[in-house]
Amino acid sequence: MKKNISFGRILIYILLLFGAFMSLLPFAWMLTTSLKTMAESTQIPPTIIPNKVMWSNYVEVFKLLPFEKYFMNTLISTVIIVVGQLLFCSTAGYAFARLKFWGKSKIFVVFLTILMVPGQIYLIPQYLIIQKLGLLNSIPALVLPGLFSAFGTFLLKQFFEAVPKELEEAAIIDGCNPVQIYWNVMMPLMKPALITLTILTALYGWNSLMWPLIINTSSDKMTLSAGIASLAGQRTTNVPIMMAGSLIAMLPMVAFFMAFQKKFIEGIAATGSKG
Amino acid sequence: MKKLWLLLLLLVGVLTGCGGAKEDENITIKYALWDSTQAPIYRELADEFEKQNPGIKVEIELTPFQQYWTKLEAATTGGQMPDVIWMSAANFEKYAINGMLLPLNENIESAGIDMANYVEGTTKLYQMDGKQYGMPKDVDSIAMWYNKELFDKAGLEYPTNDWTWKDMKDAATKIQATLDGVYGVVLPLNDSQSSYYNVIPQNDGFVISEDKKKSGYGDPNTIEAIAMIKDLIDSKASPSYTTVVENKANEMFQSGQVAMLYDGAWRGVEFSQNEKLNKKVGVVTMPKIKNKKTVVHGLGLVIGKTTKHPEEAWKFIEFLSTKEAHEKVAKSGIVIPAYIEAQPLWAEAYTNIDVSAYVEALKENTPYPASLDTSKWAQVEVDELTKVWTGHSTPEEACKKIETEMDAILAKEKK
Amino acid sequence: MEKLKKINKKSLFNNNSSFWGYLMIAPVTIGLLIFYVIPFFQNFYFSFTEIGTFGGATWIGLENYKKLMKDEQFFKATWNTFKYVVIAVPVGVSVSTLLAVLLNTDVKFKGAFRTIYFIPVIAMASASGAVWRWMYNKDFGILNYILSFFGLEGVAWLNTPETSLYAVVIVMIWMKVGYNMVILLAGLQGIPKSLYEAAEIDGAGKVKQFFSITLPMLTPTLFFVSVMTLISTFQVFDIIFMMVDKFSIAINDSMSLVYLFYRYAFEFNEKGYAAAMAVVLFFIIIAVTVVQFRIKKRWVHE
Repeated sequence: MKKNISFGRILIYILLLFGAFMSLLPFAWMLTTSLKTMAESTQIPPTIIPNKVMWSNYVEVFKLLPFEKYFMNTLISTVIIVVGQLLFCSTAGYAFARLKFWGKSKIFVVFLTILMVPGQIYLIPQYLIIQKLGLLNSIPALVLPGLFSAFGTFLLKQFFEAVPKELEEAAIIDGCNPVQIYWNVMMPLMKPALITLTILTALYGWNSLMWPLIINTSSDKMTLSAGIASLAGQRTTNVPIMMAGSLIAMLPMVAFFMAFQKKFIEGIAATGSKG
Repeated sequence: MKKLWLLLLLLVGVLTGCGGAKEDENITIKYALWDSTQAPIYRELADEFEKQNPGIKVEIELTPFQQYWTKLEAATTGGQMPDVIWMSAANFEKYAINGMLLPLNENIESAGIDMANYVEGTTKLYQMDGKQYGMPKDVDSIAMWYNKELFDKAGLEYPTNDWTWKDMKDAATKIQATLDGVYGVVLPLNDSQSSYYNVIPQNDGFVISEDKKKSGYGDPNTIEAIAMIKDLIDSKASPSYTTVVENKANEMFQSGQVAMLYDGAWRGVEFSQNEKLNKKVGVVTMPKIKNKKTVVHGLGLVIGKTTKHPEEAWKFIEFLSTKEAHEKVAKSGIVIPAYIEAQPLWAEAYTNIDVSAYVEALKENTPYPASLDTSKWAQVEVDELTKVWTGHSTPEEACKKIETEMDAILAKEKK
Repeated sequence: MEKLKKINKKSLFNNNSSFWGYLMIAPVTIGLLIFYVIPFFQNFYFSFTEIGTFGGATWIGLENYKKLMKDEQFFKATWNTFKYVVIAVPVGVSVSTLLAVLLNTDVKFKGAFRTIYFIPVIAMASASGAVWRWMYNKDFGILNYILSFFGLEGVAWLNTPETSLYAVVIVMIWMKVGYNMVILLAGLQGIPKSLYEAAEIDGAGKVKQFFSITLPMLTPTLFFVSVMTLISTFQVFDIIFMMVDKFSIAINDSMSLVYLFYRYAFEFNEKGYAAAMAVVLFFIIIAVTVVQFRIKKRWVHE
């Protein structure tokens, strides 16, 4: 008996390690490439360990890009988007989950259909709207469309539906209005769900590339991902430096996920269990 | 005396007050470009311009190339284009024909600019209906790099500016046969400008007629040119198309896997900075077939129609078009300036490789093929020629197909 | 009296809940309306027009759709997209489920594994693309290197028409595995332990427990994951753009509908035609999603 278990377990570990190895490859690639000279990065076949380790690439990135400014812009816009979505998607999610009003399901279906077309169709119309609002090239512009999410609403609706109705009914009897119920009763129970949405939205905001590039022009309004992308030349790019920049830009997200991963997993628990 | 001082004080006060209002009236013009390596030079030039023109500020808007055109299109659709804009041949007509660019003829005349100072091929790219819409900024030419070490190993003489296609082919075949795992020559077939857009005119063929109405792929010279390139692949002197797509021609060259490379002037900086490479390479003009024309592209500086400051925008362009400005750009070695007299300075900026072949190549040039719907027929080109390179079609078949479809596209173009 | 009070308060709540309902959905609805819903319907409208380069639409009725029906490349791209979906969704969800189940047992270093498997989701897409392109490289890639040990000659996986799509779909699955795994993990943790304990007492082995407890209780989460993965796989674009060059001979065999859409919208400037493609895609997705919801009752544990 013991032998069988050991073999099974060993197999499992082997599979898991193999998968982990595959998952870490891009990181490893970025790391080794970021430490090469530009010439070495174009070598075919590629070298695995850089012949000449260029820690200076990391210094160079900070010289080429106003990293602090980009970081702040990215941080501010991501925080605003996350807070905005948490607020708007939760109020709407609760309403869709628990309140009755005419046209509720029709409106929700419309929300879902937005997700079913290629995202690029929204690019230019959104640009034009921001332009009409006179907000081109500003921090609000970075943030505006991202504040509203059909996906976020859908996700939170699922969570709200999983909360036992009895808790609400008690509050209703006590004469609370929906907003009070939402804020005092439901939201405290939604911590895991909110953390889930926070992580997903933060990832989206942090890595967002096309939108910041199109909507903002001055370098002092750029975000990290846009700034790093601008290192690309038309025909030649210093790939090692770009990799260095990308690695630095990725670190906050990784740290963020590691810190929240435990809560994250517990958080999505409710999504599935009630369908 | 006291009264005079009081008056003076009053005057100063009034002037300062007006000056304060004037502070807000600083005119800012937006300059849109996409190359992060050139941005610093233009920032320096902009600073100089600002010094010479107090009251005008230049704001540089850098957008990476991949997103540049989408962004420009969005801005144009919304009616808020940048003031001075980098324009390329492939996109020029789209903007000009829809009236989105300001014609510069009057400006050029009153400024007394002699267009003969600039490369004709580039100047022509930004003309339409007799109007000049852009001032030529830079020039790309194509030339041939060679690896001295590999030539030495094969016991061959280095290429010269006088080589013919046959010379090149013979050397390439010999190198491939002699040296293990090394190809003789590679043309970056995934980039028309560095490859077949040169070979075609060099064989007296053409890609698109001057009046932009007819495709050149029906011309037997064009078909022959394509066949000549295919022949290089078939004889194994050149790597297969798939190999080029997967490994990039210039990277293969840098890794010592191929002895000769067709590439553009833009490659100069990268190669000269490659410590392992720069000592063992040289550049010559492309081998001659019936001529040695290089296809010439080059960016143009245009003014967006929606600009609120057309005079200031022109002033900036005029400044950037002076010999001095071009010389400054040339000295950086990043791009060859369109101002002919400033061009040698570009080659001089290279201390470890002699890149003068690129400037030499400009003597025989043909403009980059473009029309209103360039991207559409260029896609047809790619689709069909790819089949030729990989042996799924013959040059005759493919060129015929390109001709038919390209003619149809050109016929539909808005005129 | 108490009951009356209760009913009154409840009905009051219900009457006013319309007001509250609209109030609470107002921000999201207004925002989505302006930034998404209107462009969505605009796209619909555009599909019946020919759009000038910088705006200005001319009505051409069903012309775009007629053209679509004759467009071989469109059919190829749609067929490719179906292939992607048919492979990526079942395989991807299965792998994610397997992973989630494994990392829910008493495996050591669970937390580390979970984070590592999530990394492809966070990582820069272009880096992932570069790594995989190198692995698939005909002359120097590790895949062909391994094959050579068995005396087999490998091809250019990404640049051969017959293999390109399958090479890409593997990367697609790999990139999404961590994302779905995490969602499924949470679903697993929501299954009451008491059920397992009861099964142990009854003498059921681990495998039996998996099939009779784990899987059924996981079906709601599986449903959510399947629907969302399906919707996003139908819209695949970035990965293909990154892995297969537009000059590759294999591009026609691996491009998706959205890839073609992008080409017509942004490279060829035929926005009306592209809009029609988006509309067709939309109807495909919504049809499939409706089917999913319809058969939900048959397999999802409620």
